[in-house]
Amino acid sequence: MDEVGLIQDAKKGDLNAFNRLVLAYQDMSFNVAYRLLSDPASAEDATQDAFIKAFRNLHRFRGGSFKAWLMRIVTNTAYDELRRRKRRPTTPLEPLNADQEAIETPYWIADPSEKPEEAALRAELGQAIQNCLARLSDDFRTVVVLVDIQGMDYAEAAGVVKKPLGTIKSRLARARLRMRDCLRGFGELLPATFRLEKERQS
Amino acid sequence: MTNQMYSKDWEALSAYLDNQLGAKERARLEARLQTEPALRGALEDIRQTRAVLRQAPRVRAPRNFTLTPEMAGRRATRRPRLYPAFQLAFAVASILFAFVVVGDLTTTSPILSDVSYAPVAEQAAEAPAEAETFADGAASESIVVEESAAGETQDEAPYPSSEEAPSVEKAAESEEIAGVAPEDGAAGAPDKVTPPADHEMMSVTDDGEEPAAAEPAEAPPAEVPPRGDDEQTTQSPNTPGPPPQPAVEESASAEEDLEDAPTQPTQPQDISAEPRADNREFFRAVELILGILVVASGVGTLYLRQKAR
Repeated sequence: MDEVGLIQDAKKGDLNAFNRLVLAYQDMSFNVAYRLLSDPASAEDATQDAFIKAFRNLHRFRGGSFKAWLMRIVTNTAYDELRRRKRRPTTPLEPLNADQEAIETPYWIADPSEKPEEAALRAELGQAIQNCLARLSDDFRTVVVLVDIQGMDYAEAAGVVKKPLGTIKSRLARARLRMRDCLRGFGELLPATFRLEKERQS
Repeated sequence: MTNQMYSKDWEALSAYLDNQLGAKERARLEARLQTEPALRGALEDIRQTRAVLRQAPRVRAPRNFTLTPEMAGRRATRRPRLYPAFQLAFAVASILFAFVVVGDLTTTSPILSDVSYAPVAEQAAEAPAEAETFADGAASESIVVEESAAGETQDEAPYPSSEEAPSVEKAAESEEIAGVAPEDGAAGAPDKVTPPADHEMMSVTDDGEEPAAAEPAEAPPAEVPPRGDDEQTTQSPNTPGPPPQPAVEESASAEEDLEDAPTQPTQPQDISAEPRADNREFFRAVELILGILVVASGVGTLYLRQKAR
């Protein structure tokens, strides 16, 4: 059954139809939540909460991009957690410890065609990126996650965060600048293929 | 230049990379890119940064986030444990009740079909009236009412009364859908079964008059369908929801026609009712008990649901 049909059934209260939508979008949702929150446990809670909210608010979805609508709920749910953290900071935001080693085990999707060493490198990269993302402000981080990591275009991202295109444009530009500088700081940790050139030929 | 400060240029380059620049702006930028190496360098920086970010591994969901029914329908509170028991009791009682009523109708003879209106009428009047607030009760009540209507409309046709026949048939058409034949019976057979019928109905209505007795029976089924519509998540079929309502309004006019006829159908009852009295009384007793069970379990179900909210 296509997505539109599933959504229509889910709107009528068909939980099975909604759960099929959940299965289709849970990776993306968890990705966004994890990238925003930098903590797998919080990301799990946020993802589950987001799906519950989505089901209960399906009557408010009136067509258009279901993906954008759902991601909006996910980002808002993650924001709630971010705000909560600011009021009561207990969770460490840095995914890397002092030795630059990963504290949590990331749930990377394994690429079957990837060799183990490549997979390991990619995991390192993932940690570095997450580390740099965590240093961004919430607004900047969201745009970078939606556009550069999730692959949304500006219009979709604008629909998710409910901001004008111009805001997306400027936030993304600023975020990319900061990410560039942060990733350069990792320098040697990043494999050569991923490393950003420090020296730019003028 | 290795450290690029944020600038309008940087924003333009970033947007240019994503094809988000207008035609005029793009043309201007491309012209500058030809002549300004620093600008080219900055563009390459953004391009590389974006490429690295795109290489970020996708994170797989660590588990399934599918919703259980509890997550889906309820708020933070949990339902009391007794709730399912009451739900089951309500469902079982309703089904048994329906069976007994149908059994009652089918075992009594066509001539005495009017008499069979009485127990159905009193149950239909009593239970729906009290079940006004019972969303779950709506569906089974309208099923019961419809079944009795189906039985009765067949029985009404051969009825000998000339005065009553046209209005009865007129009512029968709308009643088939509305399932409000009980009012017909309520109006039709108060004499014979007056003590229990009136007793039941008086407890429900303000006045015990025959036409008025018919109206409360009519009103609850009208209320029943909309309530039945409210509940969609868990309970028994709500299919008879909307249709009965307009037909109920139609039969109201037919109802008034029957006001003159009530005494007539009672005559044959006096003659031949007695041999079957025991049978009917048994059925009536069972229906009464089941009706009370239906009401009680419905009350319990609703109470527990309200408590959980």
